[in-house]
Amino acid sequence: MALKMVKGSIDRMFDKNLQDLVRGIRNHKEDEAKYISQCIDEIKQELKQDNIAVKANAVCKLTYLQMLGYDISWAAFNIIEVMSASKFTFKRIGYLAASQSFHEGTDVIMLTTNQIRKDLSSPSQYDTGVALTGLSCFVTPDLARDLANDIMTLMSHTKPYIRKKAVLIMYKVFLKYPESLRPAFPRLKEKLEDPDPGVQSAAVNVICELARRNPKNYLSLAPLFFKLMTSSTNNWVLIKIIKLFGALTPLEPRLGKKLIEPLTNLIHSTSAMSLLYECVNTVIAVLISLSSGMPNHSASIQLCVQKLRILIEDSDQNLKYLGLLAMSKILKTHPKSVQSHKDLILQCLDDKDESIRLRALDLLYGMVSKKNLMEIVKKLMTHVDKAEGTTYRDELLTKIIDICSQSNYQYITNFEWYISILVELTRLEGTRHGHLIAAQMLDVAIRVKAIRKFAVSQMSALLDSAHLLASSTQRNGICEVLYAAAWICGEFSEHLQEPHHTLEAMLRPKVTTLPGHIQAVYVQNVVKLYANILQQKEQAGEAEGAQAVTQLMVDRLPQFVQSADLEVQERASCILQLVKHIQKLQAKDVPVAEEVSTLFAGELNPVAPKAQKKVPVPEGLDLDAWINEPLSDSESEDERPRAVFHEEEQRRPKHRPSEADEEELARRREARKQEQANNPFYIKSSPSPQKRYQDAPGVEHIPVVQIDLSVPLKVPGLPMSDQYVKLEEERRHRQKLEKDKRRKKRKEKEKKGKRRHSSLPTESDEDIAPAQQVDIVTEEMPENALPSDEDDKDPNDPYRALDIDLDKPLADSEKLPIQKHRNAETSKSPEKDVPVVEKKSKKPKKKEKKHKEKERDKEKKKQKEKKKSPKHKKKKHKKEKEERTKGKKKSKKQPLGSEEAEAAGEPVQNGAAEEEPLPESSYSLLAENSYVKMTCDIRGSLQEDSQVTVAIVLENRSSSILKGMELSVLDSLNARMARPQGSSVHDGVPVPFQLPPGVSNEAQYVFTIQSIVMAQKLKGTLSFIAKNDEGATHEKLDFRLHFSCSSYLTTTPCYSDAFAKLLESGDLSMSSVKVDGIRMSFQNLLAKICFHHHFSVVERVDSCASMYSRSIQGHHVCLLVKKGENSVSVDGKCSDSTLLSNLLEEMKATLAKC
Amino acid sequence: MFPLSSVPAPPRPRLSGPARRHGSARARTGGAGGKDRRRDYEARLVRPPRPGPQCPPGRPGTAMIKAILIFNNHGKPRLSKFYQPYSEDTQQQIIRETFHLVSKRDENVCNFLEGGLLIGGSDNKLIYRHYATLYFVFCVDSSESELGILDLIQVFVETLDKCFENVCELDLIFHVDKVHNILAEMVMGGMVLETNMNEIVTQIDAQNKLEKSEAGLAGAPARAVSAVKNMNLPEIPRNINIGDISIKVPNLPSFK
Repeated sequence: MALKMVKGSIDRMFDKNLQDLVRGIRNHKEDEAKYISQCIDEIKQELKQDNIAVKANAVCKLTYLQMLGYDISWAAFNIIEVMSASKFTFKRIGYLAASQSFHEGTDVIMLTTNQIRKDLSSPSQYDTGVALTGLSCFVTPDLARDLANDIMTLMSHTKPYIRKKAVLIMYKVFLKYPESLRPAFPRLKEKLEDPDPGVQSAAVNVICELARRNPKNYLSLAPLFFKLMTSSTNNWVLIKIIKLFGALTPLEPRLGKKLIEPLTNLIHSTSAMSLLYECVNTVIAVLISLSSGMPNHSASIQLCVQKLRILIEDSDQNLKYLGLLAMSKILKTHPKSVQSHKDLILQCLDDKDESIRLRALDLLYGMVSKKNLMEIVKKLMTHVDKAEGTTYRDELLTKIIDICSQSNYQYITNFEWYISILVELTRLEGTRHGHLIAAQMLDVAIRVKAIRKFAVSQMSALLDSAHLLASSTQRNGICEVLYAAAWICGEFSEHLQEPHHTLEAMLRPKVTTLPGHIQAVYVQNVVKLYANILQQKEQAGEAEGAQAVTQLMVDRLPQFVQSADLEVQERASCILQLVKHIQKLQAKDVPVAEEVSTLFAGELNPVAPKAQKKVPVPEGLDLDAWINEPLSDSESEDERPRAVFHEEEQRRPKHRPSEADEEELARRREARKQEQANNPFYIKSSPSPQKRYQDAPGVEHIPVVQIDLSVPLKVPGLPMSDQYVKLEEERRHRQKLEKDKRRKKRKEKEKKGKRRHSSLPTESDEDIAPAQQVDIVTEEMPENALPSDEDDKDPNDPYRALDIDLDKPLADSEKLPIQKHRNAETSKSPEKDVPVVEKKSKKPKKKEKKHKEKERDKEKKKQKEKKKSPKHKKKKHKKEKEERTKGKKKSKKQPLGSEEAEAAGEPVQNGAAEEEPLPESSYSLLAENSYVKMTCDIRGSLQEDSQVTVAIVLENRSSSILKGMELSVLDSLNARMARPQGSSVHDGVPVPFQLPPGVSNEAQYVFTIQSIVMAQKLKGTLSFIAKNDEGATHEKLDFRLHFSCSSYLTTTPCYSDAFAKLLESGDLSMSSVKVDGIRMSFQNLLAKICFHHHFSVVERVDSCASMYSRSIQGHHVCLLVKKGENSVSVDGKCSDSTLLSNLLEEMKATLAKC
Repeated sequence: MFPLSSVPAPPRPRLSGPARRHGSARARTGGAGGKDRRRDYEARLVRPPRPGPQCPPGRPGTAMIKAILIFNNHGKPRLSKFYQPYSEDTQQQIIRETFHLVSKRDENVCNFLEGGLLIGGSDNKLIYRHYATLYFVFCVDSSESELGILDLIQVFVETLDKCFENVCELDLIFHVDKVHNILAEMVMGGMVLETNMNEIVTQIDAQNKLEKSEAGLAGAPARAVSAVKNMNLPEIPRNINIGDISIKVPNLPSFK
């Protein structure tokens, strides 16, 4: 045996270690893969040995191989073995390997839970540290849930080294297990003021990251961060905080105002560029959030722009880049201050660094105005010519198009210029963006009606030179332009000067070398042209000419019929037949033009890309319903909730759409009609009046630019857009003069006309009227489109789950689970362990109480406010009177507890309860007289088995001061009041406050209950001294405290699987009630039960729901609530039959009032 | 051998920690000759970079630093740390494409790149620094300050320099586990843990001490063997001929 050990250790010496492996790989360059597979075989052998050192060595090598791209997931179990080694050396190797290769899908990861927990609580800080580091890389939801509590404890570790790691990893835990955020947050907040800068920095880091995703929940931390910002000297922390403020300011403009000063101070004082940059960034964010143009902030903007200019002019490319980046943010709100630096930005376009050029381009995008668009685009065009790489040139091209087309061509004043630019861009060879240009051409031609004539002439010229394009550019995408050109020429053929010429150009044999989809468009549009020509000829009476055109078609179309492209072939053969038919008719001298042109009559309307999505689903149309119900062979698995309740007689009628009768069909027909009416793509007989364009601008509006179109057009390919720049200037000049004239004329008549260009003394950007109008029609959306901005939200966003309100007090169910051992069920129902937990973590509980008190204070304040306003006073009194009378009536009929229905309470945290308006507080009237009104709320407490807390609110409604208040309650056998030590049963318990007039306050008393299965009534008296100017009197008020069975229940969430188990266990007795005449909605009903009887909904299926609650003594209460037509039946199961029957009685009383 | 810090970053006030040393004496020992020779040498080693197929879009990010990559002038990975799960193939693709993006950039252009398509989303940036033969690339999202990360890279390299004493690519090649350990003290789960170099070095030293004490006597034979392995006698003269005299002589035989 000993020999074996020695032998093992000697063997081990000659095992390959990591260095040997690396060296070996480097020595086997030729057959690296083979060598590595050999090594992996060795490693597999090593992993089989018992010696942990050998295993660790093997795992270490595997980690290296993983970096080279080898999958090592097969060794996951061995990695865990090494992780659990006792020596730090090996442990570290194991955790490193795990952090490199484990992920959520690794199945053995669940085996690590206990090992990690052990390491976390290890006495050696480095064991703990290495476990935390590893865990941060592979934490899963399960691990997060199981270890959250351990990590939270580590947040207050004595060693800052552990503290900072624990704080940091909490972020990962929150992401995987969002429920842990609220319980852990108070401690995280504490860490913001940790004495160790590293821990503080970590806490800032985590909170900043949380806040960045859901800023509104962290607004309340702003003062704390503000303090940190002014006190901290750690630049890392400062940067994080400043970045955070950048995220918070949009939500709270007041914060922004406060920030400006310290930030500008920092900008002036700091020498760290990184900090300066972030400050500038945040100041920008602040300025954006504040309503722009506030005079006293223009200085800050100037400062920012100034500093950014310094950055941009810096020789360091990094600063230059960031400067441009920040500049683009300012641009959005303060374009004027950036526009003055246009020179600098245009300079950056010449920079050798592509990133910087691209940034500069981005900036230009925002800097254009009507005035400078032409100039900027001209500059860009020269850059296009100079550009070397095709990528950058393509980028320029897209940017030019972006710049021009932004916000519906807002800045283009002359569309002829724009078309010329587009035509010029087609000269670019090898660009990938032919389709972009094409799309622009189409868009402009369709939307700008006035430009169609010009566009058509340009496009026909393009088609004419198509052989140039087609010959050399089969592969490079610019031929896409021909797609647009052909379509425009065809669709708007009435504007063509020489349609015959264009027709011939489109029928050239060369065209067949174009890609299929373009040829298809050619074929289709050739017919449109043909129809047009036909009409012209017939009208002119040139029958021969018409026949010649037809002959041309018949001659040339066969070349398309032979196309390999299916689409082209189909269209061509179809059209060829048509044309041949026309030819026959023409031979008989039948006029055909009219009929042919009706083929293409009507106008196309632009439709917004999201239009279809926004059409609401018509009422009565269920898109998820089966059209043909699949054969149902599963009759048995219908949706009976849980078959544990024996009487299941009520079967709900099933929906079977397939059984549609005549009525159903008619309804569907109606629905379809309606859908067609709403469908923008459904071609209707006549366009609806709203959808028609605004009247095209009259001719006299347009041709301010005089271009003689009768002069043969310039061959596209030669720059001609420049002339527009000149023309544009002239046009503007003329416009201005004209306007001046008009202004003079109109001076007396009207000061503010409705015309677009009313009287502004200086020529602003808005003064420049576009030469042509763009039809951006709001009706691009279907008429009844639903406005929705939720288009872009990603439902899978992991940060969404962290959108949690942190200011709400912690609820009992939110404590972190502390688990001793894993068991199979836990993965399904984490909440099951909750009750065990509650007793252990008491810390957050205190906070909770504080919170509750605060809330109560708020409530009281509200009440006070109400009283102050005299207007409401009368109304309120009336209401109160009504309530009182009601209350009296009812209290005669029923015990006090049932009055809860009218009174109020803190909304129960329950899915069902949230949606329904419920009374605001659960306090019910206890007793009242002219001096005082008592309301109370009874809550079961989980901490002590059989105690309930009674909160009594005393409201002074007299003009006297109430003092010396004492509460005496007669104990019963079953219920006793907890009194201060030493006081006897008959002594009163003093109320710990006095009440000035109009004030209310709350006192809490604890009662011990022996048996909770029955409702209890306790008699009590409140005695007090009422003191006013006239003197003091002793007064008394009797009351009866009613402990209903419901008040012993505590809302406890339950998972359906646990619920089912509970029911199946069979130790529950059962009982049921039925209440008739209920008209309330089921949803409302459930909410009521949840609210008044402290239940929570476990599962709800249509009009059937299972509910659960738990008594303070641990009785489980399960309910099945079913709603029939006008009735509700409640079946209950409980471990105590008396409790159950009492509960059901109470419930019946509640339901009877619905 | 030439230390990595021989290409000093542009002077900029450090975020925290002591002021930076500019081009220390040892930093200049690495000559241009070494660089050229190395390039020739490595040139044979590297496979021509293949443009991989389109990367599947990354999962939604959960870390602020998405990945830290170190590779040499030829794209050989020297360290890869991903803070989001990717399959090994995707990881290799990311390394390749990142190298592709970074390597074609001139020396005197800015250190930021918006090529983060690989690691999900336009929110991401590549921030890199080039030291001698190595590229240090951090892929980060917008919550990180660009200049801050640049400084962090500098801290990282300086820490490596302290821990390895004149760090060079070979240290990273043979001791990638140690580099990982150092990195773990700086960045944890994609978040910056510590930026103070002294603190980092203190923790690393303490851990090394702990490791040594654990190895104790049992580790001695293994160490002796590895020392013998490293002395690959016949090859030493070759390296001496090359004239590259450095403290790393035992490691040199592996160069071929």
